Amino acid sequence: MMDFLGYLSLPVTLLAIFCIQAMSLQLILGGAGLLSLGHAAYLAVGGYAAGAVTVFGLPALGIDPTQYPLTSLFIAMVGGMVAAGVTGFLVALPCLRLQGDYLAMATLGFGEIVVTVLKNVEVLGGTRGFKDIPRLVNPGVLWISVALVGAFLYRLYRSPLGLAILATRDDEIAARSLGISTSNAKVSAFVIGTALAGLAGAFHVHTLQFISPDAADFTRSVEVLLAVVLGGMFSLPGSIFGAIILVFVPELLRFAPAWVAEKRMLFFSLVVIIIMVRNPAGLTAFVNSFLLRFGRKRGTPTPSGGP
Amino acid sequence: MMDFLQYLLDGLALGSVYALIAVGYSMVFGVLQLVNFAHSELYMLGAYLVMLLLLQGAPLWAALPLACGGVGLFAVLMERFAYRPLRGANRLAPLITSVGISIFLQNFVQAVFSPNPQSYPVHLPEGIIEIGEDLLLRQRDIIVFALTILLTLGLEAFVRYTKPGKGIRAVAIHPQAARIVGVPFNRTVSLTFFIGAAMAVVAGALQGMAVNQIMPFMGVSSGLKSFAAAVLGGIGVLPGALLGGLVLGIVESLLVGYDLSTFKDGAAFLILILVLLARPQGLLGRKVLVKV
Amino acid sequence: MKRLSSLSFALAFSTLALSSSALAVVGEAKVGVILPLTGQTANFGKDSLDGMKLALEKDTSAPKLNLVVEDTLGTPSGSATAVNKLISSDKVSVVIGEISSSNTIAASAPAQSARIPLLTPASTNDAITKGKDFISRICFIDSFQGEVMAKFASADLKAKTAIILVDSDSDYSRGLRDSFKASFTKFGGKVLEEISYSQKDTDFKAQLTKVRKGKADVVFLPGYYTQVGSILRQSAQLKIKSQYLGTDGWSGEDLFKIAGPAAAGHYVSAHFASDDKDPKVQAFVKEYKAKYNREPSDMAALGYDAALFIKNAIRVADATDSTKIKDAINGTKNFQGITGVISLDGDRNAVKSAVITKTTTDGFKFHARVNP
Repeated sequence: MMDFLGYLSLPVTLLAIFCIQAMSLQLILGGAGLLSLGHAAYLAVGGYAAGAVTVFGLPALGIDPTQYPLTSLFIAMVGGMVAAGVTGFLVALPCLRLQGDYLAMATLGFGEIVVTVLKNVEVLGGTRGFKDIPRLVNPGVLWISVALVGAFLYRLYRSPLGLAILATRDDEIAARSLGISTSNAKVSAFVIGTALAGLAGAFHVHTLQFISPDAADFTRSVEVLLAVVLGGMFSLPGSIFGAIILVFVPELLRFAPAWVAEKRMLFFSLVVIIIMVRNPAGLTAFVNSFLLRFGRKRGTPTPSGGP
Repeated sequence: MMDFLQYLLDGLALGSVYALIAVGYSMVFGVLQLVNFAHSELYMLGAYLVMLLLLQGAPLWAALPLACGGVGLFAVLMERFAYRPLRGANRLAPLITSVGISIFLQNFVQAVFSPNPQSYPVHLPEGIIEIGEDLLLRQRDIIVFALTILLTLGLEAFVRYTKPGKGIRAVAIHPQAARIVGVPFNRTVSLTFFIGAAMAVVAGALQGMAVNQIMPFMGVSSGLKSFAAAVLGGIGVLPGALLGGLVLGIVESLLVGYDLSTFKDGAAFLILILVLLARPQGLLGRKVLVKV
Repeated sequence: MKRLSSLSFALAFSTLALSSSALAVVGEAKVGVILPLTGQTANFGKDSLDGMKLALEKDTSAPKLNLVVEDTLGTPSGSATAVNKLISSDKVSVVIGEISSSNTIAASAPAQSARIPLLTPASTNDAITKGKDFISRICFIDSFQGEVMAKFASADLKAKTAIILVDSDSDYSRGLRDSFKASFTKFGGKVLEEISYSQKDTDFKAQLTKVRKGKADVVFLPGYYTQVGSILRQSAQLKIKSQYLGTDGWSGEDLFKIAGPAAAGHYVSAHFASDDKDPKVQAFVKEYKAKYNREPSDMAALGYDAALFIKNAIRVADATDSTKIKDAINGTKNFQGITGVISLDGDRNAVKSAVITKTTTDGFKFHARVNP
């Protein structure tokens, strides 16, 4: 039994990091209704920044991170969040005035641009990746952070800013007519979300001790998007549930008969397809608000008869 | 100066492959407002299916149409069973489903064939043409480019002058109105998927024959860039897909030529974003008015 | 991600023998293996693992090694994840791997932090073992390999000019570029140009057009077989006349599949050649061919040596404690391997000779041996 728990320690650590990342996307996607397809880029930026803090910044100040792990980790976390938040802000400024699909394309584009930029920063390893980052994370700090992030977002949704964000999502024009600064709400949601992704990034690099530019690419963005959507994108606990599905179902499939275990991703993606096709109903309850946010007014095709 | 010309010409062949894939993205989006992320996997499937047929002894002129038909049919079924049920749902549902299908196909091919690069049984002619001291063109590049132009022109003619083709255009402009005048909606959508898939199959086969290497994940980066090309050129507009693809191919080729190859992936997307900000409908797209 | 289920050997007899043995030799040990079983360097992983399995089948003496194999997917992040999993979940005492230098570098930090010894059979980049006492290797290093090829080019091929084609995504390639450049210049040659490509590229026309224009005597191409294969093929199509020089990254059977006839006629530095007359080599080749029905590559030979090297170290350490194993590894001298006599120096690198092979339509053939 202890062996099994020990076996789980790495997946559980990665799960915690993924939960933070999923919650951060939930705020942007489900909370603010912004279709952000390049979310992994912010984890990557945060991770690189945090790694730079512990590998270059602190030693330059004469501090050895391994001597002061918790303090160093904390400083790195802040560094990661700031870097990611600033990046999010820079992306939000031009993009948030784009409508639904175009916003999606632009955020996807930015994600790939981040990959390219990271590939070209030689001092951080370039295409070969950023290595030899000290291991500073312990599970206690990690899970407390998960709880704190969850609590923070929970309170945020009930605060004036949070309500403004939700109102902007539901009906931007109505919200504006009530005097809410919708651009403010959107930018705030985006920046908070990306900063939290940066926090996840800081944890990521101080656990795996390595990060490469493709941590920012579209495939990684898709993973966190899947977690949020599968879990129910309009609910915060849903994103945690989705994260659990995405980390543990492949892990559990490892214990299935060999011919299944080796093709884990194959079966997992099949599960995803089936869930999405059979059960969009959970999402259609909010269809109207979404159509207003994203829909082209020339009318979306509707099913010709049938359920 | 000659270098610039050289890289420009090289870019045309590269861009042609992007263009062929971009057509599918563009047409499907035009008709359904759906970004079919599984489209790049149709490109990959096409490459593998043609290879399989060639290995069975089929001649190229038979293998290609067969594969187009096969993958085209698959695309139609994909739309029927994975996207059509989601038509009433919100925007994200088919998007996520298409991502799921994309991952599924990559892993499926990886399981059946092996994750490692496969070589191709048939190659494009390997001759070169030298123009003076400085210009070197490969026969295969010329073939790819010429074929792409031909196919795109053919498709444009189809869409302009034939009844089913006009149906596609009608649905892209206004689905309700198209229905009212009697355009069979579902059949038109299926046709769109079929055509997009067929073009992608040709792209896949050309790529395999040109570089002698195909892998299950070959669709991933080409797909994203082709998608960017489609948006750049004007999504929903056929000549736009061609233009977008060629522009992107040329930009990439120039970057590699001038030793900036580490920037080439990002460049495509930088251009994409600049276009989206300045001209969201793309270079050749129609401006769509959103009624408030 | 793909994972392979762990290989397990019989437990009961060894434990029984262990408890009744007066010498109390360690019965068995859990050894982690990180290899690229999928991806662009999959040939390396497969050959290496085949070599290891052959070695452990042949030598059944104590201690028994239970190999736990993880696929790194051939990427640095895959390697970091794989080694982390072996250390924290599987609790291995020692890790063998990876093959590509960038991947080994990514895995080395977690191994060093966790104080688990990591032995790479084939990663040659100089920086891997620097400053990390738990990281070691049984192969030569790139400052040696680059010099070998530079000397060969200058003295044997009488080359005066060279162009270097570098894989910018690889620490291995970049390190070799540096050492070749330094040595070649020292021997009086001139490096005309350095041209880069990426592991993601499939079309090398832009780079090869420059190579063509340069008209150098030799082209040094320290890359991995997947790209090298395409480059050689496309180079022949463009009718480039320069002689190519390769390094151990060329060593994959897919090289010949991808490049076709263009693969023949080049000189490549390697760890071993299967037609080497040494009786030990020939015995190994015979066994390998009997079991796997193909010629062993130098990655297979290195895998074979690595498995037996670790087995020996565990026996000497007489414990499954990682630090004791590390000390035993680092102190190994005169280990008789297929790829040469292996003694680890102060930096935990092996001081060994290199073999220069020539590519033919029949694979890699022995050409010369170069001693350090």
